[in-house]
Amino acid sequence: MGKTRGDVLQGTLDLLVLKTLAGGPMHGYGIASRIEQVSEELLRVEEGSLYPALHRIEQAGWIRARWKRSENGRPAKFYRLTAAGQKQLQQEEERWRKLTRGVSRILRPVYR
Amino acid sequence: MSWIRRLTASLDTRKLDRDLDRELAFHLAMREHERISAGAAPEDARREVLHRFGSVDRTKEACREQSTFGWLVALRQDLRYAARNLRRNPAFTAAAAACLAIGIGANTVVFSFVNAFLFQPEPPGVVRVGFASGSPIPYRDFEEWQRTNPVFDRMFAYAPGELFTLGRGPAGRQVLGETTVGDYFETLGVTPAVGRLPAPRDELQPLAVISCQLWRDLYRADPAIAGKAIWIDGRPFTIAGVAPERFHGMMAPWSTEVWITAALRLPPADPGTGWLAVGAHLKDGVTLRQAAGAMQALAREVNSHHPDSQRRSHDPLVVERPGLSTSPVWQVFLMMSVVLMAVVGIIYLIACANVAGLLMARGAARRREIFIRLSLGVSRSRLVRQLLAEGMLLALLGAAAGTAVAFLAGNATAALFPKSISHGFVFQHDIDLHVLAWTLALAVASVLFAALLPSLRASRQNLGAPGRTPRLRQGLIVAQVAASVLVLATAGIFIRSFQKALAVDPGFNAAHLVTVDLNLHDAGRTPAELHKTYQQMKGALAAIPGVDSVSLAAEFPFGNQHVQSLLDLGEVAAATVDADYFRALGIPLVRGREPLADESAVVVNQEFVRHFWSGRDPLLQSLRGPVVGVAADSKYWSLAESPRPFIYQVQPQFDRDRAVLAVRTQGPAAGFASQVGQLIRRLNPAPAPAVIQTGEQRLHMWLEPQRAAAILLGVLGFAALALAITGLYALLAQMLVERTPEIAVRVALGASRMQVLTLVLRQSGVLLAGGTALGIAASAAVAHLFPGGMLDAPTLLAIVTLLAMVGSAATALPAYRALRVDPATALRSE
Repeated sequence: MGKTRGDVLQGTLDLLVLKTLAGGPMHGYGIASRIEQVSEELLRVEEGSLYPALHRIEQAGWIRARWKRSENGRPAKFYRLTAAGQKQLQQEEERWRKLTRGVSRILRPVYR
Repeated sequence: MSWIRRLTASLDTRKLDRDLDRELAFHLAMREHERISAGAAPEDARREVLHRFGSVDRTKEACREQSTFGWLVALRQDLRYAARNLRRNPAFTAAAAACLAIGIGANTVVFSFVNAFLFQPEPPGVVRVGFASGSPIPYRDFEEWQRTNPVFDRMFAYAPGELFTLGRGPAGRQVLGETTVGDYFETLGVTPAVGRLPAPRDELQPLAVISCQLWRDLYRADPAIAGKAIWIDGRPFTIAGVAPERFHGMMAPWSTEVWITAALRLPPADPGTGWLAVGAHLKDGVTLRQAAGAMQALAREVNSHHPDSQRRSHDPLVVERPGLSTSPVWQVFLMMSVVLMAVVGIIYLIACANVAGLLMARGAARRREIFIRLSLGVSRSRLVRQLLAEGMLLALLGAAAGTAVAFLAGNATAALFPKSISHGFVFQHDIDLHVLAWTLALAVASVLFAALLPSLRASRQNLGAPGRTPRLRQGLIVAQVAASVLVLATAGIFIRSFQKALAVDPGFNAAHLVTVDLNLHDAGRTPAELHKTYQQMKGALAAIPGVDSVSLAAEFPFGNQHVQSLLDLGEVAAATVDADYFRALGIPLVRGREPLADESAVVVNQEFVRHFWSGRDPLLQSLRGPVVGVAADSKYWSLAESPRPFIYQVQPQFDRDRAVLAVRTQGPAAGFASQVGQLIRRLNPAPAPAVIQTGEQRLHMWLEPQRAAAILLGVLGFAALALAITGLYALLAQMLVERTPEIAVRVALGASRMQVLTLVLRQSGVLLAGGTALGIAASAAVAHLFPGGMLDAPTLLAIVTLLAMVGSAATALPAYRALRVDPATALRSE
């Protein structure tokens, strides 16, 4: 199996989950599909790590879970962003921007 | 409050698991649906989805671990699982718990004794002030220091190690007491358990403080004890209060039971006589060195006020941090504590090694179970935690059993201490919070020592890895055997040095000697009448058939003695005795003659001559009376002391109110004790009862801690050996179980019984020999740590023989089983 799509970088999963939930409450399957869809299939969520991550983030108080009926009628566990999660998202985004800016500067070709 | 909700939610594991199942099932169903919509066949879709997802169980486990309180849930599960496992293997559980119980129990017992004294509150800034020679301090000096010193804010003095008689008449009880002067209790930071404790302003009232022990024993913990009267040495005192539980006075490791104010002894008849030990509290900001300097200057000044004490200049004052204990056995006790703590520490490690060995053996036996659980997706860390939980339960079981052992053994051990001796000095050994904390700490540590490594190893097993020879376990056995050799050798060294101490010549003949301590202070007699009473007693005692001679002395070796300053030469210990003293005690005179019954003369010892009169003829000298003889050196205060100058002042008109009668008998002293006692009771005019002892009892009182330690060490040595041998046996038995198929093949291929036997014997022999050699090397190194300690050949030979014997016993059964291996049966079961 060729690695055509990048696995989500360790540590960025939290950011992706929070950002995805900023658009409204969603269940785990929805989060995974949304990330793949929005990234135009560039990112692929490892399902074995998505759920532990969701549970961890919930314990941190950034998201809260609730059982609701899903679009197809089956009950599903929906996660929604809390106020603390909102703040965390901003911080993570900021950190991510700094990181990518720094990394891209280093990757810029050097003329001399 | 959200954490409380989270905690309660975390504990509802069943709901959590159901939710998790549903959440993941939903995910998988959605994915499957997605694949089918994309045109996959239903069964292919299911397979693909599961393939992409990976292990569902492992994901569930990972999700559960995210919970903040997940560890609590996991712990509960682990403990439950561990308890089930332990219950299922009662033999293993009992063996491991018993090992730990011995290891922890031994520690708890020793610690309970050490604890009673090491944690005795001794407030910071308290120092001891005394002469470098250790001579007792006269009241006059103490008073002057107290009045004029610039460095202490509080001072106190006490007469340590006195024997008081409580109550009146023959039923009196002998206790260890202290007479206190000055700010004793406050300086030592002692607060009363009941009533109040005397302060300096109470100095002129006859007040007494009793120990908690005595309060309970004698007064049934009467809460209204303060103000009651108590007879001490035939005089009425008022009980001011009860000392706190943890305060044992200044004679550690003995417990002082009564403290009295010096009301009846102040001002002393002879202010120049030393009878006190002095302690003080440093003023803020004063260092030890400054205090010493100031006190030495002060002492010079005090000396210049008293022309007769010029000579003290060669005995400078020292100021040192406590040990305030004035007990002559304190140093021995400390040394013993260290040795015993080290020994029980080793035993503890042996026990832990045993449990580790047992756990490893079980880890090997449970290999299959562990593989299954690992392949079912249990994480390694979880597995290790589960195995550790087992260790923890075992440790707690062991600690509980160990505490019970300690409780029983503590009383048995206490019985080894001087209660047997007429004085019944008390050794404290309560199991209190300190001790329990110590026990618990040991239990927790034993989980780390005994269970961590086996758990890690067990979790690291790979399928198909062949059963390797347990190298680590073999190493442990060698270490255990070595450690038990070390403990046994230490016991041997100790018993030897104890025998040596027993053999130390005290300088007088303690065998065939009965002593009578008299206190005629309250007999209401004039000195002349006292003299007559003594003569009467001497005459009556001498008339007992089988009594050779009777003597009278004011100060007696190893007794309630006061040392006096008599000379122009310096502070010299002295005793006032009568003319029969040397004959009755069997102290040989190396020069001169025995004093005559009616002359006032002086006898000095050899060390005195060496020290002061080298090159001069002692018999031509004169102190307070002509020197008529030179006595051989003897021990005066403790058996360990080196020779020191000593003067016997021979007084024909002996009229002190306290005296010791020494009765030299022809046969064993014990046979005469009751007869002497009856006679004295009839003739004793004082309310205070006399104390009758044999010379050996008197002497051995000082050897009690050594004797007790020697016995304890012996017992501990055997405990260590038993543990090590159990370990050896377990290893051999396990090895045999693991190698039975191999042996069966060998036998089937024609190996002789001899070869099979060799297999087992070689294993056991290598371990035993290696351990013994290591242990002997370690013991030889340790032997140097003891003063006069020596590892002698007979001790070593005894230990090696013992090891060889129990070692072969431990090998015999496995060897016998190995011989009985039947190839057909063994191979069929494979």
